[in-house]
Amino acid sequence: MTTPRWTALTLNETLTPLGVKIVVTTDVPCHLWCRITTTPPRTHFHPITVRGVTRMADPYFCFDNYHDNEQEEPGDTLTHTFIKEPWPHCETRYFYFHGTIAAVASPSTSPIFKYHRIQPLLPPTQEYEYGIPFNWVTLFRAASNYGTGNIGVGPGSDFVALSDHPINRIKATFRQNFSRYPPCGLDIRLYKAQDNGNPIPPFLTQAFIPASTIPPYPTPVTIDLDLPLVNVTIGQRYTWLFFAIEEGLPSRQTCVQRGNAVNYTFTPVCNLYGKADLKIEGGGSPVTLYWENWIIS
Amino acid sequence: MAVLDALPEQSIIDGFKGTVDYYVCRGIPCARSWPRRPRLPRAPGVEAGYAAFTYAARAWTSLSPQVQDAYRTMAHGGRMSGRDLFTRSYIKGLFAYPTGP
Repeated sequence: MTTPRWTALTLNETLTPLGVKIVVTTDVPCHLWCRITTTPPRTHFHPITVRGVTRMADPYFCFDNYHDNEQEEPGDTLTHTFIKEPWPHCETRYFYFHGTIAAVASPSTSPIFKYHRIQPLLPPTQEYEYGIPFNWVTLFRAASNYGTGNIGVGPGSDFVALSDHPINRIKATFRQNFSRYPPCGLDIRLYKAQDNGNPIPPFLTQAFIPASTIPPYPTPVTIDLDLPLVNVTIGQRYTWLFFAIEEGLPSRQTCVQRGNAVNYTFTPVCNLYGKADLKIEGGGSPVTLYWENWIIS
Repeated sequence: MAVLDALPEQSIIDGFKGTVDYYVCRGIPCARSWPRRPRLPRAPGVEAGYAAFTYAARAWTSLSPQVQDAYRTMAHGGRMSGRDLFTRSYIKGLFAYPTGP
């Protein structure tokens, strides 16, 4: 009976989100197992005598702490797939293949391969630009401890998604108001919106600009903010809302300056691009605004 | 075959390569005419290995560069070449312990 033998011809490793897919092809149909380890194999040498001279030159290999993984395909095949998950980033593994032909064990083996898994490359960022009108007039009216405070957020901040895409960053240009002390931090939130631009709670993602990052009036500042990633749907209207946050108070409180003309001007840009103004005017100080209590006019 | 008092220098041994073979048999330095044509027919076991050896010799060129490099890496530091290791891996495997499923 002829001893069944095979040889590995090609090897291809592909990154998967959680690990690595290994595909090996062979010269004859066979059924393979992948023997894999994280322990670097060691090479030792046996003595070998060549033309009267003995040298430690005949290698043998120690492959320890391994696991055997059977190929995904049933039966004997020419292409053999192994999916190793999970395989952490920056972990090196060593593996070789052994197998059977027609259910008869073959003495043949592949060489030892080495693979270092790296962080999968993220798809290139695609920038989306939305031409959002700058003007806005809609006011949200809310009750406060000192009467009625008005916080203005208007249709200038809403947009319709041009395609299905993620939002994970907003770039905001703004300046501090000269009369506000202490300065307010700014809370930016994204909502789905009705056709008239009014937001539909709850908010989808959020970013916060602390007051300490805002330079004194009138210097404008542009800040890139990372957002918890959210996916928008093509054709859906969304709107950005902006809240002035008195730092040190509970995050759900929005404080509005007593007196006249407390104005913040925003130019929020994302991979999402848009413009909006925020005006906070009138009312007492402090004015506490709760989202649930808002009356959207 | 001739028994020697001692093996000559390596340069002398190399100089007679293809004509005289120097070796040590049970601790006794020897020399013999070599190579010599083996007697025919060869042993059945030897003849049975011809096909596998021939196939392995030809299959080396069909391996992808990545697989060839893996053999060369394993051969690093020894006297065997990557191609030698490939022939060994095909005929009897590279590992001393069982590799069956």
